[in-house]
Amino acid sequence: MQIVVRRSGGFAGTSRGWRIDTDTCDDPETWHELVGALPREAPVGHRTPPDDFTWTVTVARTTVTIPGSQLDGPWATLVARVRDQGDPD
Amino acid sequence: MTAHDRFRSVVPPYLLQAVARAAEHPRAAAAARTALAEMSAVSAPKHEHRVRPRQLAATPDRSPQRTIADAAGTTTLPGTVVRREGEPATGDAAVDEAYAGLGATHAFWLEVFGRVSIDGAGLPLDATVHYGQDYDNAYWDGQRMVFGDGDDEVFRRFTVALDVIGHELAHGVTQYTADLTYEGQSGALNESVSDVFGSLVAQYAAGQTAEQATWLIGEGLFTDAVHGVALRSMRAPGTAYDDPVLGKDPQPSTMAGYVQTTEDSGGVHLNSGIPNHAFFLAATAIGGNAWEGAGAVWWDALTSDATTESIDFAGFARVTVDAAARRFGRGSAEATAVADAWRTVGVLGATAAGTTDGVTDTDGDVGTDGDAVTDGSGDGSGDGPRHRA
Repeated sequence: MQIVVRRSGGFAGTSRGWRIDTDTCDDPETWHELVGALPREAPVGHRTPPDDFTWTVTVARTTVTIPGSQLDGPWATLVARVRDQGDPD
Repeated sequence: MTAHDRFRSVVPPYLLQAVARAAEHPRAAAAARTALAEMSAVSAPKHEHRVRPRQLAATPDRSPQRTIADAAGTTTLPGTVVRREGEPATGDAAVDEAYAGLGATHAFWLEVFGRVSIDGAGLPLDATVHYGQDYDNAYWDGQRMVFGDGDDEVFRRFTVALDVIGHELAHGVTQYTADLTYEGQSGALNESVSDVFGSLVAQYAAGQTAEQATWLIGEGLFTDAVHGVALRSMRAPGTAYDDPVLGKDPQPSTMAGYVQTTEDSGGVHLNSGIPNHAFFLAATAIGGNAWEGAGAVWWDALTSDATTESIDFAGFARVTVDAAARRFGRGSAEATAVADAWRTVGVLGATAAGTTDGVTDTDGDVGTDGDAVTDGSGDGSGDGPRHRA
């Protein structure tokens, strides 16, 4: 399973991305648990605060967009893990 | 008749501006500066009644009323209050830089434009520092400024640069005035307005003229490991950095390089390079203190009824050209500089070059017949761009 995380916006306006293929990881089960813990609905911002980050998270064929100030809970855990263990995209 | 109308019909702003610059008449100059500042204050904003109902008649507290909180590496806002207005320095660099930066920004708006805090009504200034872990950002959440410490590999703490603090507070000012929609061209204008006034806050604090200013945004934010001088350059968008990790500064300086993208709210931090460069061109062509020339024109435009929330580059350009003619006089060097600047970056057509005629059509096109729709007579007696009372 491919997980791709992209961060755009922010004061600097620089986009960064990270990618991981969980099938090639040592602990694919942990990744499946992380993905299984994701809420069905991603938090949706009514209005992006100026200079806030925008996160785009793609898990397999599903993509969600989350304002940085609302990245929390299981989504934040997943993003942090991909940034930590994935490759720059 | 509002105070602004009455005032405007007596002494045109461009004449006041001339008096304000008269070195041989220091008292008159000081009075003219005060009058101009008060005029800017009463010409302020449109949306305050909607966004934040307040009684403007009451005398607002003219101190910054700063409160700095510490999130201690969490993302929980506001965090623990660590320094209130009037309290001594804490010794924590981020706390004290935020405190000083908010003070310098508050002083800029009050002393230059007569605006009491970001809402014009003495809104207390709140900020949170030490937000998140390795958090490479600063943002305005609609109520407070939030500053990260950076990751110390690419970015240092975001309080280190005064123009960044000025930038974030300017987002608040925009929210209470033109309320430019944060998407596409109006979003890029929102970003550019924050860079413009963030830069002016730093220039005013340093006493720099347009010639002396660096026109860099976020100088000092990068660690020494990064190949770059700042996050953005208003003088030369696209040249602020060129780094193996970050890539090259992607900002265009003219419409020929306009970036179409769905990321970054439609490239608001990319395409802001175009209006940023227009401001730089106008400010340096006018010369002197940028907050008195192009800065005053941009402020007039930001508080003009003609600036709608979804306005595009060309629309905003026309409002600034009109504002320059009203403040400094039609055919003045300032009005010509503003029109020329927008033409150089490709936002206004060639017919707008060197003239303030024919750039105020309502259909979104640059006029070709010189038959301006909006009053731009420059004598201060017309309606001009309607200001929000």
